[in-house]
Amino acid sequence: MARFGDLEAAVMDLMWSADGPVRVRWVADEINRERQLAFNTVQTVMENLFRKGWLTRRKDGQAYWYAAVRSREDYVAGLYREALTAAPDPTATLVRLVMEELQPAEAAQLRRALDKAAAQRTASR
Amino acid sequence: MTILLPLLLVSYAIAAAALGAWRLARASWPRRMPRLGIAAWQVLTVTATVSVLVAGLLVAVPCLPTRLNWDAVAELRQHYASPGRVVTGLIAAGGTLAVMARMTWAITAAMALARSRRAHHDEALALLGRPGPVPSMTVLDNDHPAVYCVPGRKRIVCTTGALDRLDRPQLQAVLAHERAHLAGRHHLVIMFARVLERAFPGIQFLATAAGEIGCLVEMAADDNAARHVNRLALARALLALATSSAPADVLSAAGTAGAQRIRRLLETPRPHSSARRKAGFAVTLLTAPVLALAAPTVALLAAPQCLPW
Repeated sequence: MARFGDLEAAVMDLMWSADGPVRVRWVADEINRERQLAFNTVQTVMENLFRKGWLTRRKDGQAYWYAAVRSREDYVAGLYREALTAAPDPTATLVRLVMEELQPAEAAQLRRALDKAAAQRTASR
Repeated sequence: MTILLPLLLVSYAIAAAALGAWRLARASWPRRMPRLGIAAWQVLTVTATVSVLVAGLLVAVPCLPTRLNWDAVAELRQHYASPGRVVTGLIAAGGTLAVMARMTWAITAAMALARSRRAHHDEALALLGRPGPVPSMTVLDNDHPAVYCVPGRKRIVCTTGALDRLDRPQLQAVLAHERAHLAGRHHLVIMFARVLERAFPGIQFLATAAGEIGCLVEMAADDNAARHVNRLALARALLALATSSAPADVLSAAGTAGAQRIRRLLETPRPHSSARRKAGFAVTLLTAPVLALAAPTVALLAAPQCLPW
């Protein structure tokens, strides 16, 4: 199923590059510049993305017009906030590398200590 | 006699929690040997919790038959002949069950929540992230430097902001740190500590334990990484990531824990013989559960039969 995830990512990339709402036909044509995919496959992927809340759609006559719910930047910013919320996550969903910011004075002090340690190490070699 | 035992157990739990936490939080050795420190905190929390549970159990069921025999049942019936004892027994049983139910529920709920959040996060990463320069690494287009791992899927996420700030050795050091988290299943260690803290709010000892375990887990991962990569590269990477110009609402007032981590990487580790240290760890890891359960077990063994209160 990893391929299916790739496909979703490819569709979302196209949706984010589109100027406004588009039809499945447009996405299928764009994707097929690089690979050979059935229209139905693309349609299924887009319906899945709609169900998962990544795409919205509006019916116009026979065809659905799809659009991304939020811009790529908005999603990334949301993901970043999720990863870096100030309060400790009680479930430890993610493990962050650095938990908090250093004060500028403290950071400067540490940088000096680091340079000293590095100098000592080269000297003792 | 039997009421003495539960009282002793509860006093022991309180003493272990208060004295142990007081000593451990001030000791310097846990920061030098973080894995040992984590084990010590876990022993403290488990022994205190289990002691209280066993105390409640002993009040509710003062006759613990070594084998299932009718004598014990008869004695129990006799014990519960007076209404006062029925009330005490019911309160103790109710309390014990409530504590056990609360813990079970809290842990189950936290695990389910973590699983669904990770699945959601992973789905978003699949659509938003790009493959990184190293396998198992996902890059997120964001100027703020951040590195973290998503335990369930063993994914390490790095923002473009972090990639820009780290040179090659520093990136290797950061990855080694995250891999140590994943290999050591540190998310479970953190989760159990935090779940206990949240299940019984107001018990300061559990909050202290969760906080200390959170710091020690990071130091343990630092030490583990420092065995494979340059210590100073890791220190530089931490410094680079901890001095981003993050938005003010993410800024925390006291950055002492982060500074401590960097400082201890600058010190040359003491030349321990690695075999001796390994033996020390093995002994500790084997004895820790025994130590944690010693007091409650002794109490249970000391109460094999019904004695009048």
